[in-house]
Amino acid sequence: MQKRRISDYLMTALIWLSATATASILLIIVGFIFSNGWRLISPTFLTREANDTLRIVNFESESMVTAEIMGDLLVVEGIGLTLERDETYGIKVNHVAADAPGRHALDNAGEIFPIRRGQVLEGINEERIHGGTTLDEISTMFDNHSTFTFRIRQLGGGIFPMLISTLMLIFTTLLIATPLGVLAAIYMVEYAKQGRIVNMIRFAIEILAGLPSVVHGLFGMLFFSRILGLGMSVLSGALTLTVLLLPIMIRSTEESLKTVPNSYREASLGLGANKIQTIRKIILPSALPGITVGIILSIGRIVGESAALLFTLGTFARIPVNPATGNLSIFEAGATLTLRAFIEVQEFGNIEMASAIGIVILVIVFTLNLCSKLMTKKFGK
Amino acid sequence: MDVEIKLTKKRAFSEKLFHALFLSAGLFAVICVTAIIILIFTRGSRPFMPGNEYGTYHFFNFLTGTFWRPAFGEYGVGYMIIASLFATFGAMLLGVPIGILTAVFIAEVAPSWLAKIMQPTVELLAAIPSVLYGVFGFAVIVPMINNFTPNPTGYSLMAVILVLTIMVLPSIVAISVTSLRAVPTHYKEGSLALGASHIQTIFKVLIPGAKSGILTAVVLGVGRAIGETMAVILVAGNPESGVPTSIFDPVRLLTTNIVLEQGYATGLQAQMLFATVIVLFTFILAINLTLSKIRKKAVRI
Amino acid sequence: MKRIKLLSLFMLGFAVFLVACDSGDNTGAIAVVSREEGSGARGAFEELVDVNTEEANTMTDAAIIQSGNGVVAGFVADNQAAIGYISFATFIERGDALVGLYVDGVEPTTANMLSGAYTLVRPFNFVYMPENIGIVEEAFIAFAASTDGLAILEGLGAVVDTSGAMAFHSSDWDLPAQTIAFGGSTSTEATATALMEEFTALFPQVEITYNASGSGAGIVGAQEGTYALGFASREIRDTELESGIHVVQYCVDGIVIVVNPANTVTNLTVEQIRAIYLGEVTDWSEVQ
Repeated sequence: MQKRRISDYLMTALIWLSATATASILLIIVGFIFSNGWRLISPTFLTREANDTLRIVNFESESMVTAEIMGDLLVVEGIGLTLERDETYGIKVNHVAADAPGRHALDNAGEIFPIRRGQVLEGINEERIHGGTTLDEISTMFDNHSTFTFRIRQLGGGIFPMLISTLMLIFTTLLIATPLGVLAAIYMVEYAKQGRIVNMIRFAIEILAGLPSVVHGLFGMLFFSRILGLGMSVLSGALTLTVLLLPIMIRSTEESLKTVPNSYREASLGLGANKIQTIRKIILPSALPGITVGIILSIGRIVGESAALLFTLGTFARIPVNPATGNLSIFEAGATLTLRAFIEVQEFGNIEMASAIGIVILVIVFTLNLCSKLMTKKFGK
Repeated sequence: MDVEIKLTKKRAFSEKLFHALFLSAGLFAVICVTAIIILIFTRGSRPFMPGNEYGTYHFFNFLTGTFWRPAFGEYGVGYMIIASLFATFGAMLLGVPIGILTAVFIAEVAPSWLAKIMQPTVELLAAIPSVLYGVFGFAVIVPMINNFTPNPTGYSLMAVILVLTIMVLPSIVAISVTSLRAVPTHYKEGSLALGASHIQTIFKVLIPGAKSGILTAVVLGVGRAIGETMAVILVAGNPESGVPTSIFDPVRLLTTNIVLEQGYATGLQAQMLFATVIVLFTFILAINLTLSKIRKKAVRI
Repeated sequence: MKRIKLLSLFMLGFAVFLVACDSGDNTGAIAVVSREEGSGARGAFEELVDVNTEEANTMTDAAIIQSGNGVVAGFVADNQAAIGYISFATFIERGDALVGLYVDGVEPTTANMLSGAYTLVRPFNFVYMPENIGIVEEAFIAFAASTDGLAILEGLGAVVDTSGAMAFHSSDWDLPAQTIAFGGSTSTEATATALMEEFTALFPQVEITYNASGSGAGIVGAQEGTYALGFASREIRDTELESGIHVVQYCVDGIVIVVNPANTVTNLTVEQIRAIYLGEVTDWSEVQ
């Protein structure tokens, strides 16, 4: 009896220990990511470009230009600009008046590139400005000028392009994968007789589900990027992810189709509807919650996937736009949040940036998780 | 009458059309798998066939070689196979006990309010992308190991095992919880009525009762561990040779080898990467089949 | 229960085996880090130091492989026993986080690289297939060779040959709106992106992307047309030239051997560096 009680206590202790370990692991990892990345999080972080943008812009002033130092700032009348000194960058734009001509400055291509607060000034007309230049030194550069050519740098460090790329990828992948998965599941549940074809399909799904994402990435790089000639693009990544997500979509749809009671089908057919009408109007709507859960699971997977995208989507941080038209294009490349986080660590060892991106990823993934939970609860599956 | 026949014919035609549509959607998966297998196996097996334009290589040397030096024409994945096996085995060794015990906690031991908190916690762990585990490993686990390792750096098999354990834990816990809860209550009640303690009931009745589900969880965990790349690539060290003889040795896994070279491999080297995939594939298949067999046997008992 | 006991015993035994199978105290052991196979920095380093050039002198098993200049720099900065090689531009960027070793008594500075006193230098090249490039790429190539371009490169610490260089006039070129893709070495990334930045400031209708996937990938990419220009931080091999690619050397960069600031070693001969990377020398005490 004594022996049993001791071993019982031992096991209970081990059980509590394991559970604590598991819970602490989660807390430590999430805590690590938040503590390392929160300093970079700000509204500008979410809206800025990833890389710096350097531009040479021109504008004119209507009135007389005078520069005057007021405290820590250099106020330049006539062009409505206030400049400040920054330890890291040199001279930055502190304020741009509402009527400042700089708001409509033109770059070398004739496009408008407005001068904004926070930009770094690297050159005025022929003079270059360095990290050590003081406000005094530049105050004389404005006199007797009415046309100005500024070298202006818009700082990057934001994740806006990655957000757009991720959204485009999610949208494109779901557009292709959802119909495929749902249609395939409908076949498996509603049409197929148990036999060779169904077993073949099921076997294929098992294999697809068991393949590591590296293999999907290799296949995608080979087939979609090289053989089909899509190169590194959102479409190439979306197609690769479709193949990867097919098992998830098919399985969750299958599950929810199976829960639709047969009596529904019989009643519908009894009323004279044919199979297609039954599926469209009765079965699919009932199975919708399950399908939605499958979609949410897929979105989570898309956001978190990296190995399959390394060579199908590329790792450069940009918005996938066609430069000629300026429109978003799925034939263009642009790294997603997760890919970028990986590159930040692997190539630059920049834990802070990777963690900041990690925070955004975690927020998205946890929210999705919550949504799927609420969904299952609401529809009582 | 004519109109009726026309309508019926039209409907029959549209029915057939839809049937074909659904069927092709279903066959898409089969086509994909076939394409993947063909592409990979043709490219990966060429180096071992005579008459390859990039030269031939002996399959045995490939499997048992301990140097990966493309510059010298040496392609040995032997040491990677060992590293992958050690890493998976180690992750299972750590992850399965902790996972099962945590599942027991959630399903049986914890007061219900605690269980309600723990379960979403574990699910959240499952949702975290693997890259972030890699970042954590790189920034925390590797420096930590660096403090007490006899080797010069913390990039090691131990780091890989730790990261993989953390990754397989959530799936093992989640599935085990479901299986434990699925054990019929009269098993538990009967055991308690016979005088067994709660702990005894758990270990002698419930866990064996949930055997099938738990083994499924293990199979899934193994699949995840052996195929994981991104989290591991940042903590493994990735040396070009060397069978790991110590848990502190740096390792290169089959999966990380593929990703490291994927961008620039051409000719024979590229074919060798596909050959590596074939080896990986075979191992996953072999492990899955063995575990399936064990599962079937266990369920029968 | 019996099975669990057996399993835990086995587990213990396995763990003991793995931990015990390593001999004693290795404080002072050198942590060698190298780059991935496709790295140009690695290719150049190995040729200059004569490691991995033939079967007889293969690199030590113990070398950790990292992909990218930045990570090697970070690795050495975080590890007191580490030694690695990075590009001069990266070295300047890191400031005090790293110590650059004197090689054969010569300090790694631009002046020494220019004069030839510092011998660990390698070319930065970009390669392209003539049929894959258009007017935008031609303008870039002209820009890189111009006095304006060379001034930018000099500012980053690269060694340039300014003889015969002319000024670049953006008005000479009428470029369409286009995205062009560059890719290649992480070592050339700093210089390439600096040139790209200035070029796109002059021609905002052009967007240039740079994929830092390694010198090997850069060359392959240029051959296949994935990249308009592929960047490599080493000499182009004859086998690669066979495909018909054109090579432009746009500057010369130094390879700096770096160690952690806590390390007391400040100077090594090329022979010593070679011995370390071959695994013949494994402890810092042997090179004091």
